[in-house]
Amino acid sequence: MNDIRADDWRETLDPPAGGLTRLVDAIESSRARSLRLQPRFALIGVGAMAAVVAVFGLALQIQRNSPQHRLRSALEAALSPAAEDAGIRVDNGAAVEIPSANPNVRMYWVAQLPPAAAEPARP
Amino acid sequence: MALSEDALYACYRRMEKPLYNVLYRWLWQPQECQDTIHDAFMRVWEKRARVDATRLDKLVWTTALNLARNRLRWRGLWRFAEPDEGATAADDGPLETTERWQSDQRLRAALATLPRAMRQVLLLSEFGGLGVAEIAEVLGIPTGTVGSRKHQALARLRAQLNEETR
Repeated sequence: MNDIRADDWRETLDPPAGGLTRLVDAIESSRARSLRLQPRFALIGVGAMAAVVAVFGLALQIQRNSPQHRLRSALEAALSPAAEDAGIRVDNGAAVEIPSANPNVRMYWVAQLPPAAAEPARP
Repeated sequence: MALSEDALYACYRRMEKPLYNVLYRWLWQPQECQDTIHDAFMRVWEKRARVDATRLDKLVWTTALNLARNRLRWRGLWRFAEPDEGATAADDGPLETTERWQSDQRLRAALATLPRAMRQVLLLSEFGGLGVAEIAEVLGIPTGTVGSRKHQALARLRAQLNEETR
């Protein structure tokens, strides 16, 4: 048995040069990249938030202008008891405020029950 | 405590050679070994906020061994991209290159006859310079197992190499 020959395999090798320099460069460039990206991420965040707010606002506006919403608002206004100094009071009927383009002009759609319906005949 | 840049570089200086020697006997490609070491240290650096500096060496060993394992798996998938069998560890002259190639081939063939678990223990102890307790920690096995695997692996490797040189 040749022990010297058999133990040749334990030989220690030197790694190729430049490993540490490569690591230092990589870490420095990753740091520079993250510093460069930080303002971009902030801008992207602000932009995304503004977009969400805009979409939400637009959806609200569309919903407010929808005919269903306007009808519901008008019915609610008609069914709710009117304040003493606001709106009009209709005896034996109902009034629905109609949207007006002029803020100084208020328009109402008024309907009155026929006298027979208002006071049922007593026996 | 987070890992500092100086501690990482000191660790690189301390561990580059043992890591390279272990990985070379596993991957058999100098450039791939250097890339694996680089990637391992970059991975550790990316996790620096959660790295315990006192366990840095163990983390680097574990990461490098996992990356080497992944590289070998990829080689298995991409068999047509076989490594250059003649790749050597350094830019030596033709005579040294031939000698290195022959000794690499002999050792590679002998190591290939060992079971993977035994081979890992042998590489870490003989080329990584790790003690039994350190190997046990890196591989997550009991120290008794490390001792017995190392003993068996050395005996089998010696027998294999002697058979080849006869």
